[in-house]
Amino acid sequence: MSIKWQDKDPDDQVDYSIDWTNILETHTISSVAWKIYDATSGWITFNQGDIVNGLQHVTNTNTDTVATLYLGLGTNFQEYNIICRMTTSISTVFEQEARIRVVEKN
Amino acid sequence: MATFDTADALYGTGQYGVASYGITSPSQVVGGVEGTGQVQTVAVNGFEIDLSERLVGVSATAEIGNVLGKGPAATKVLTGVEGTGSAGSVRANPGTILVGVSATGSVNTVFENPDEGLISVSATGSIGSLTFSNTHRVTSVGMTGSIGAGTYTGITLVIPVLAYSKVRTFILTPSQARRVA
Repeated sequence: MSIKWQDKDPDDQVDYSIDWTNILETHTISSVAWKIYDATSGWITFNQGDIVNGLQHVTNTNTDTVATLYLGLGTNFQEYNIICRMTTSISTVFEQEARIRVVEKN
Repeated sequence: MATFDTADALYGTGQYGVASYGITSPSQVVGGVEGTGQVQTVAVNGFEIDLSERLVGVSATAEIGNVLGKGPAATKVLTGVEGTGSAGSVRANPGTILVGVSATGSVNTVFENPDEGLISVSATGSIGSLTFSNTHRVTSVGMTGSIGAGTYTGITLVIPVLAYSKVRTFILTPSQARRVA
């Protein structure tokens, strides 16, 4: 089941996060990777600096429990599907899909 | 009285008993006296001059070791001082106005006191570290040098590292996440 982040303005460059605390229990985040869905290529890796269908991966960070993706640009009225792939400190791997819609604010 | 000079001579002529023979007592005029002598070296306290004598001129050559000027220090004005050398430190006293100083050399430290007005300062050097606070305003700085390190405050990063907005954070529940490995 996917989650939905707040809408994004094309001019905004903001952070979107997933809090994995309830999944990790006593463990911590070891690494995080991001994917984005492209209608032509399917799920592709979404690395820093990439622009896919107009949406820009600015950078990403994580704490022991929270994974954060900084997004920029985006096409107005388009919805993007993104996956956060998280590896724990005990090498278990979890994925969570998120949707974000780009809407220009008035 | 008979007078003879060098052109006169006595010969063996004359009358017996009247003229003397071989002996005469003439009075002669001496045209001049010439002699050579030596005067002892003139020295102070070594040569005495009588008061009745008149000295038309005195010429001497001597050597002076040191000349010391002496007078009221407060009335003297030094219009200019010029020198070349190195100064260990320069410190201006309060209330003193330095119109101009020209020197060639090396200066270790320059102190500035709050009561003094420095018309202009020009320097070239290096700065070890620079701390900039947003509570001060720097209107202009002109310098040439190298800056070792800088510390800046009051500047907000566009992307804070290891920080995120809780408003745009989705908190997962154990049933939502999908374990893939």
